[in-house]
Amino acid sequence: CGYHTMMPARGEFGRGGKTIEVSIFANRTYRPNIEAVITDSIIDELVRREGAQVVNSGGEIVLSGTVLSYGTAAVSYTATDTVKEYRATITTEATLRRVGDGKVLWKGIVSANTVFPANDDLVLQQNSEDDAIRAICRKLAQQIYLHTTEDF
Amino acid sequence: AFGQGDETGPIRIEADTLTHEAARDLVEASGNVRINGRGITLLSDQARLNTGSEEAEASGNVILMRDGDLLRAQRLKLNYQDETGEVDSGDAFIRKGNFHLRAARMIKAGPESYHVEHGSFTTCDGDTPSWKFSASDVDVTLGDYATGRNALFYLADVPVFYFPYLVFPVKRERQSGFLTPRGGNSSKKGFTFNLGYYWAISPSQDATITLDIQTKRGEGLGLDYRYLLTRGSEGSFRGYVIYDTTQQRFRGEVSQKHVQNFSDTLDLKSDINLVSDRNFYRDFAEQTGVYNQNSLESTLSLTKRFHRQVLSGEFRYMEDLRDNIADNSKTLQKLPTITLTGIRQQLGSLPLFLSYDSSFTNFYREDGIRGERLALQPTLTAYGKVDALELSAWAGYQERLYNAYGGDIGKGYHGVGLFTAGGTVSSTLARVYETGNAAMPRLRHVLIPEIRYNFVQDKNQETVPFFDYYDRVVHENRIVYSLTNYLTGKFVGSDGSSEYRDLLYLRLSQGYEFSGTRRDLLTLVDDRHPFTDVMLDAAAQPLKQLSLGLDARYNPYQSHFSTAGVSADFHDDDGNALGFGYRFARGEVNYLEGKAVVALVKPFTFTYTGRYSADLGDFLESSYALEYRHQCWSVTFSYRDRLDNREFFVNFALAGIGSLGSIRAF
Amino acid sequence: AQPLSGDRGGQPITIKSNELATDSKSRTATFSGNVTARQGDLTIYADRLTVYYLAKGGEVEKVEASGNVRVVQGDRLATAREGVYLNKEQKIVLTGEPKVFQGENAVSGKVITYYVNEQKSVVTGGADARVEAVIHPKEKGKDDGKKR
Repeated sequence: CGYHTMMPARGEFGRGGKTIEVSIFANRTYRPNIEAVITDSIIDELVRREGAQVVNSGGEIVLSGTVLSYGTAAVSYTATDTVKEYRATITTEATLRRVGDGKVLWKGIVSANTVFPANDDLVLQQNSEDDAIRAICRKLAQQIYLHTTEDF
Repeated sequence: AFGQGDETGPIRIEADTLTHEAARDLVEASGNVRINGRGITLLSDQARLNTGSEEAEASGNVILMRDGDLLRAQRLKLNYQDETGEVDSGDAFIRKGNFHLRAARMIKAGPESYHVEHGSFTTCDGDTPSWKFSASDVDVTLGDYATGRNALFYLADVPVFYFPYLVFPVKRERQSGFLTPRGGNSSKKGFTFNLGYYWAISPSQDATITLDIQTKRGEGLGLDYRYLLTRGSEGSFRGYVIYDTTQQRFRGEVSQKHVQNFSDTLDLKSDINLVSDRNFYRDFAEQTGVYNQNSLESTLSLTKRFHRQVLSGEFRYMEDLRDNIADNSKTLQKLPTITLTGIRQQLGSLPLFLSYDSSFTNFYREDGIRGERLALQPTLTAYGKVDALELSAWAGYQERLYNAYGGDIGKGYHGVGLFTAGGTVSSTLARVYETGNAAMPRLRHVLIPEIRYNFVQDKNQETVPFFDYYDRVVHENRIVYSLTNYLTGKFVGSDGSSEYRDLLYLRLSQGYEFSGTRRDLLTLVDDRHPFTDVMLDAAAQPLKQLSLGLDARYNPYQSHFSTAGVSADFHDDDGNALGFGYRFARGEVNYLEGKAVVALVKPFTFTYTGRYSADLGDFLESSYALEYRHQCWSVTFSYRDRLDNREFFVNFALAGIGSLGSIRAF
Repeated sequence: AQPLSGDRGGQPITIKSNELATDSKSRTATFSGNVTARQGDLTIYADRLTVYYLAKGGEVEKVEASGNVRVVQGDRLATAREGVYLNKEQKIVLTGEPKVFQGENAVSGKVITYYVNEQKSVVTGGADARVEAVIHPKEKGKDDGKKR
């Protein structure tokens, strides 16, 4: 039916192509550790598809980036005007670069968000917020992977 | 700068008559003289040009033009080389920022700086400006800012304000200068008057000082100070204090942010927010999300990044501002949390990756259970690929050690460990469609079907203290099947350049629980039946100006929606915008908010925002604003109706020198 | 051709041409055919040159040149369709799209009055022909880096 398995394109990394390395993202937000979650999610998305081509270091192609912003904003309120749900949003900038000549194969700003419930117990609300960050990072990782395959 | 034109290019002179004395390098021209050179055009009745010293002297209806800026004067002396000059009774127009500068005498001290004596200054066109500043002497540095002494502020021709000393911006990106007054009336605050003053201290520092008078509440003072340091370090401090006449005490808030980059991998960040009392925001704040915020957080974190690990320590102090609790003593604090996260890393050449999450947290609260928790969770993940099938499987062990005191259960030392495991089978299929549409010739559809299995060992954790949900990890034995779609269009610009834009993201998923309970921390509604709700998460951007969002959960057992969230956002290029957000969670919340900005009838812009609670059956808040934008000033009439407060404001802005800065007016 | 007296005013003016026609009644001498008239460092070329003498003493009162008039003096060059050289005032009035070049500088207009001794030229424009001058600033100030 015309559908084929996704072929990596930019910089021909993966499946017999060049090796790719994901370097740890920088983090410009006030929320620590987001860079670890996003980098880990991206490596999961890449290794799942490109297998052996993903290397810890010394890759011919490097995917790097920066977590530009993290923010939560109230999105729903109860009858007494108290917050019921927040929307967390993470924006990152990612760059795919060929190490040999330093050529930038792709660069873009990717953003994703998820809604999580407020909780009277603030520590439990942070558990929801942590889950929301993990869910957003999975979405961002998948979007970033797909951007690196755009060459149609 | 002046010399943008050809550095050593010729100077072209046209006139009715001209005398050229080559020996004395002198050219005298008279009769509609026009001199072109060095990017400058000079018109006058008479002109003398000494080609040796490159000095020109023009008199009689002198007009000097340079890349859009215009200077009219009776007499002008100008040195082409060092771009200094003198002007008598000059009238300068600076195109960027639309500044008009009139002066009895204007001395041009260099390429970018003027000294003006008995000058007046406005951004209004026309001979009778709606407002202007006059000053005995003004020093202007283009692209930076101007300082005036003995300045008077005129409305039409009436002097309204006197300033011994005034700083205002000239052709600056960062809008600064005199912030504009805002008057109004509010049921909570009585008559209010805010006056902000933006002070550009230096290219890397600026401050906004705000005076805030509220007849029912007293006088307040706000300071907003921002600074930039080397290596991307920066920070800001914002303080507001008011002597509350009704409560006979000082009230206010302090917020301090700082980012210190010691190196590329080591940084310190602080985001401190403190408030004098629990009801401060409800009494004084205006914006939604601020006046109805029920918690305030302060964090101080230090992070060190390694090649595959991130070590970070964070002190987080939380204030619970809900009005039905007396104080913050029961709020659990994390002072500190130290996490060491290991990013998945290949072991040798095997398709085997090790990752780990470890954290040490010191929980503290004045009364109630306190203690420390150490959690270690290594996970081993294996990957495989069988032509189109992407396989992954993981196994992990989670060990938690506690030392708690001050509570009833779980005192003393404890530990608990449990296994986790799981796997995924997925595929990433894509097809590119030829659309035959010139603007978007190709469309790619990516389809990602996935089946994910998750197992968490069922382990009794009642003897362990309960600080948060990580102390009661629920048993999971669940399979989740999902289908994710991405539609990406390839757009070709008129100049042949092509760009990719995501048009649609749509994910459908559902789970089945073989055994165990379930705790989904991302939803308000979950009946915990074996089949989870059918979950839809979609985002579409069919046009650059229009973006839509939809997330919903459909309960198959009761055949109704458990939750639904819809959002839409449209904006066009000339100021019109439409925003809409609906949030529904059965039995929990039913809420709608909308925003419309209508700029169809120039120069008026009407803005409406409304927040409607279906649970209440009424609007929580609605606000209306009408802005009239004159050529060089604008006035905004705004009315806000809140459950507990009604406010009306009139806000002036002088275009070009003090557009609405971000004064945090309360 | 023979030297003419004139003190340049006293220096002799030597004129060469293909033909010469004199008319003592009107006290004129008309040279025609690529005429060159030289007085010291000043040289006038033209298709036709008519010299007018004063009644007494035979001094040159004025010289009228027409047709491709070119006046050369040191690094100054003037071109026009007609030019009248007034010996006493030591100036040449050039008309007919006159232009004066001095090094890279150039001046043009409707009428240019060219002062032979003062390195000065006065240019007047008319309704149809505005005065134009293209001046290249002196090189001396450029290369010593004094500029900003």
